[in-house]
Amino acid sequence: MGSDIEDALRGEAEKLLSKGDVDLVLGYCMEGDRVVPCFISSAGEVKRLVWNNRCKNNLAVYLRDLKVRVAVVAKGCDSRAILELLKAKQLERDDLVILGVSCKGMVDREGVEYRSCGICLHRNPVIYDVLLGELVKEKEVRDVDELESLSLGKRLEFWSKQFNKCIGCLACRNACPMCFCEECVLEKKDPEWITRAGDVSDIFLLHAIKATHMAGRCIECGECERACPVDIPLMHLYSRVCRDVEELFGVESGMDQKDKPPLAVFDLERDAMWEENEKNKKR
Amino acid sequence: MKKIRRDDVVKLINELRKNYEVIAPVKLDGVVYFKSIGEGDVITLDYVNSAVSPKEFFLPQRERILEFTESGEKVTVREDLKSKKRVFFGIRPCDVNALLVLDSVAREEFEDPYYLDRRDNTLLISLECIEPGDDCFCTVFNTGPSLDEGADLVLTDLGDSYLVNSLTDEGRMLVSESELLKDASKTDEQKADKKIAECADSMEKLDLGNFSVDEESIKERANRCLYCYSCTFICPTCYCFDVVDRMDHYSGRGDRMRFWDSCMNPSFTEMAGNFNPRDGKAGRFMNRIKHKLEYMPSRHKVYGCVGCGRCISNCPAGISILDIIRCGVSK
Amino acid sequence: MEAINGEGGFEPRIVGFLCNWCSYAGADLAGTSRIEYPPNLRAIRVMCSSRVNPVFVLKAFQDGADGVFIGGCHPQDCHYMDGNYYARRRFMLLGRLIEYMGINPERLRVEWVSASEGDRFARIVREFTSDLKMLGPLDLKKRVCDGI
Repeated sequence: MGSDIEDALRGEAEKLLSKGDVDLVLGYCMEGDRVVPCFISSAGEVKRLVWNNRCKNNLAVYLRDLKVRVAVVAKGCDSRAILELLKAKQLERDDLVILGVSCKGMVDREGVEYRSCGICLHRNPVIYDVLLGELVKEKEVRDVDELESLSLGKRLEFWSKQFNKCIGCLACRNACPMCFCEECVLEKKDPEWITRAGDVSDIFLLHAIKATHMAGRCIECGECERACPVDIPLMHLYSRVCRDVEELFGVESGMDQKDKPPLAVFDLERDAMWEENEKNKKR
Repeated sequence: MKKIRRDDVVKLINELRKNYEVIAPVKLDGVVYFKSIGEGDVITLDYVNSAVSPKEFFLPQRERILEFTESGEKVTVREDLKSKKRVFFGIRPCDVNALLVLDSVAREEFEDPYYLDRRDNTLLISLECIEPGDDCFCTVFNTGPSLDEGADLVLTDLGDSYLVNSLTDEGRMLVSESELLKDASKTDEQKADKKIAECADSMEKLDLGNFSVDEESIKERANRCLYCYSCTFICPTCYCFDVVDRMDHYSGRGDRMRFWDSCMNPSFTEMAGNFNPRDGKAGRFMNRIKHKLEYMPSRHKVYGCVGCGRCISNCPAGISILDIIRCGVSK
Repeated sequence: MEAINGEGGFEPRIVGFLCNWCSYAGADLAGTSRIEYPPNLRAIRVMCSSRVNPVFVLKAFQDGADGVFIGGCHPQDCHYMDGNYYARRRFMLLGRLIEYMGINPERLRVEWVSASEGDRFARIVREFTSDLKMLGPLDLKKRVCDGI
């Protein structure tokens, strides 16, 4: 039950803070009628923490910059993000207490389930120190992407229409827990790959480049899509890259800390076979 | 005052399209945008406000402000400034007030000719609000739900028709020939006033007399902020821009482009030598809030926020400038 | 990119990233052997095929390329031992991504051409050019900007 988890969460947070095991608890609280991320630093404040079906934010995005010991509430997707950040050596495992919690899908302020939750196959946290509540049954079959049935021309038309809406706010990048580069390729000036002074083809490149950078790292939390002010269905793009990485390289991001980044390794036999497959597919 | 049947509004727009470019609201995948209407575009009257603010029609996201050609020692510069007159239909009172805020910036010691050219050549037909959106708070800054000045024509929804009020001679002349407009009765005018009053009464009012930004309310929000440029780009009063000269050395042609910049970007204040006086996140967040709520009023005598609520609806970190304003009032 | 005007009809513009040790040398051999092949490929020499960043490919398409060719050493022969293995993975992925976004993946061609394979290089360019002639111009910038 949601409120049981909430009580367990508050209890755990109070314990950790009063014993001094952590300096900060990163969770969710209410602000007006909105659920927002919050940073609790004293045991007296734990009553602010909530757990409900609107706790969508991926809290892992804040972890890198907090140079203190943190207890963080982690749903399935959040925990996969934490795992990927650990793989990329962006976080110290010893500085984290992961309060894992299984998620049944989150809804927006209108009560509509987020698309990323609808297609999620990892509702249970994959890494945690404490499990709040119980594990849930996972969805077993992936949903079919409706864009796959479109022809090449129609796909270009679809994405061009979407990118004509894009205002280049880079909220998709900033909301993504995996985008942590100090100097981002999308804003580099020398050389300048994408210019704000250009046209929509620069926006096309922006999204294509970001997608290539997500390869092997995106954990499909859907924050990019939620952050977009003009509702571009970005999950389609990154999910596609995730599926390709799984099929071509046989690795799923955010599942096993011992996995190596797929684009930094190779498997001679497997790659040769897939190269042949890809060539034959085209002809 | 005049009135027009609801079903005739699109006909009026089509009439106007014969002589002017008309910008009006359309819905695409459930999201509302203002668009220059062309064949096949379906206008919507069923909306609270657009996702991105109307400022993009006056201060475009990217704009070529001049072109130059270099051949040998000779350089020719070409600036294109005469826009044609056009009509902007469906702009909300808060956004009209936002244009007045932008005007105060564009008409400082150095005028912005590119913005003013578009602004002075655009007739505004505003649509007053009879129902607030989820995040609207125009009543805090007196920028709505009704509009008494700033637009050429103001429409108020009476249900099956709209009351039409001309605020300027240009507005009156724009529709004087149209047979779609009939005379409105005193009852119509009273009905409109009542609807607007009901809308305003349902919204929050704050006494900004002793307002000052409460720094405590900034701190936790600055931690949550993701420092994307969402709020600045969709905000109807944010005007910061960057200018770049581009040159193609082979052809000798080049141009000067102006495009939106954001104070949330760390390199906003980055200087030559990599020195950055405001590279800390909290500093940038504080600056944005103070700019809207303290620096703008002190410099331009007008608040930099018009209560449209777009930043609140869209912030991925759930930050609300209204919460911050409330904290600054309760002293 | 300036267009080459053929005898009438569309002349594809191909940007070719050729690795210094193998494919560039192979292309050079084609030249010194006076093997004729279409002039549609503009060569850019890189030290290794793994030097090629997916951004280069995308930028080439944005700037007007109808096709992009990446030439590297045969697997197990990379001058830097394993560069081409990374390139192989990277561009299989990029091919799928551009296909998903609406660009025909046949416009991105990755081949392993050794320094001795001058005639093979010529043949590849001949084939690629004729394939692209069938596919037609990409015009990525125009199509994206017009929303079509």
